[in-house]
Amino acid sequence: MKRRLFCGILATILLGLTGCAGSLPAGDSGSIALVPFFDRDLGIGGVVPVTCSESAPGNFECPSLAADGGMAVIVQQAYPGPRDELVDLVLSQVSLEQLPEAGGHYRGRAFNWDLYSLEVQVKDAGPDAMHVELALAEGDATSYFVALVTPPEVYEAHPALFETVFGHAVYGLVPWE
Amino acid sequence: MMSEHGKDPAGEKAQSKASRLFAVDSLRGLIIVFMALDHANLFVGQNHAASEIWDGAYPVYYDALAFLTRLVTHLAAPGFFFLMGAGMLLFAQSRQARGWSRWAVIRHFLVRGALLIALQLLIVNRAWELSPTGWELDMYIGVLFALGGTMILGSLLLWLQPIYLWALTLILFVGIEFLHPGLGMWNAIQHDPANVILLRPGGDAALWSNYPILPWLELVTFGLAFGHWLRADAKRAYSRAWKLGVAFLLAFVVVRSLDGFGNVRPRMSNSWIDFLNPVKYPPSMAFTLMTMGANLILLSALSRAREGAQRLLQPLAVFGRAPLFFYLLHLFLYAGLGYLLAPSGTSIPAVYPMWLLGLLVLFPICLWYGGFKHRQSPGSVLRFL
Repeated sequence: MKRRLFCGILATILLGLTGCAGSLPAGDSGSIALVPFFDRDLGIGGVVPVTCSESAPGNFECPSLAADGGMAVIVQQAYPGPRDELVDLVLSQVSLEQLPEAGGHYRGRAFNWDLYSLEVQVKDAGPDAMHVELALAEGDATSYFVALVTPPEVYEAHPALFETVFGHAVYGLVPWE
Repeated sequence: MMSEHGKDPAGEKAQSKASRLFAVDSLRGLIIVFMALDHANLFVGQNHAASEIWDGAYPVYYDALAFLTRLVTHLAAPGFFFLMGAGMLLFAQSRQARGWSRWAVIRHFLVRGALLIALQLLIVNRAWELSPTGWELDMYIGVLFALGGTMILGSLLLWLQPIYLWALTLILFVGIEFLHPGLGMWNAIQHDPANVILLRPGGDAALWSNYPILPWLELVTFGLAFGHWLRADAKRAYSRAWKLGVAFLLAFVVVRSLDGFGNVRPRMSNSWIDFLNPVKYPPSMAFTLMTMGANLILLSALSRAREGAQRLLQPLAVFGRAPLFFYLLHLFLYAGLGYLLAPSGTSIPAVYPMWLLGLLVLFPICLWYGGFKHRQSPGSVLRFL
């Protein structure tokens, strides 16, 4: 008798809860699928979200990651020269005279990275300011950078972008021959 | 018949056997329940992460609950193969004691294995086609197919000495790593049908496999070897399970920390989530050590459950005694619940009550079927479910 009563109460509670649950908005999978990429010309391998398409070697456009139709771009590049030259090249693209202090450091699979967070005007990207997460590292005679470029509102709307996309891209970038 | 001391030896034997198998049945029930959570998350929540294939897309999690919901379900597949191996050994010994020949035992497992494969292709794949997030595969090699395939292969190994079973387990455990070469070979692997069915997960829309047979055979041979321990001295076997489980978890930490051999694919980052997210398809050494470490510890803990705890855990044993029946029903049940209650999916916290509701519906049906199955003759096909 007690058991039946218990089961009845449990079933009622669960039915109530599931009734409420069904009216909730659709959820979020809490994950992003990354796929490996290898570029022998650039000499790098790494990971990018499965939904991104490569618009130029090492440049990936990721429409489905962005809220309200905005576009996130992730760039993974190797530069055959010292890090200072690479920094000058990056600065010329973002209308800055010098990089701010590094906001952090990160030990990836192949490199030790310096991390920067910037609000900048990106060349050829329209008049709006862009949010850029930048990671720089130096290997033997080659320098490397990873950048996540988003309109600020997109970045704020998608907290997964930094940790999941940028973080994993930085961690996974390795030299590739 | 009663003995001169007023005890019934047959009854005592049956009770001892039931007690010995309670831990096995309840662990099977527990991992089935975890598996159901994963499938509720797919059918009802529509939150299931993307494919976890070794040489392609791999999910990285930014939400701890989403990850933990997936992590706990990882115990299911390796546990099924391991417990199937142990069960096969005990079944073979029990039937031989009743006068079955070796060939009769092998024939039994050949039929049963073929039935599992047929169920995968004819029934289970129909359930996957109800997946609300879409299903575009013509033929899918899933867990039942691999259970059937490994059952057929395992039936031929039933009379191997335990030492050879351990050796075979070790060879398969290490060999899987060599079958899945490093980053540089990812695009060079051919996904022809034999490869996909037997060796390496992957494929295309015409034929996709998450569960090729050989990589999962190691868990069946491990189960067969463990079955010998169970048969010889169950108490000692469960005590060894505890020690082995702890050793497996320690080995997992070492293999995962080194992030080289034994991981199939490098770790995706230094986060705790990625540390606990090893490659499942195929079961990498890290994955097997992590999941079987936990399963063995749970098995040992369940074997120590006293009468009161056993009563509480009885629902798990009920599910564990009708595993295939549960498996076939639960896929369609959660597909139906998703269609009725959350056609657009729902959040992971909201999936949990739906998962429990499904279990509540399944419990009396499995309880009935377990009793019905038990009343069938030892050779009845109805006992297969």
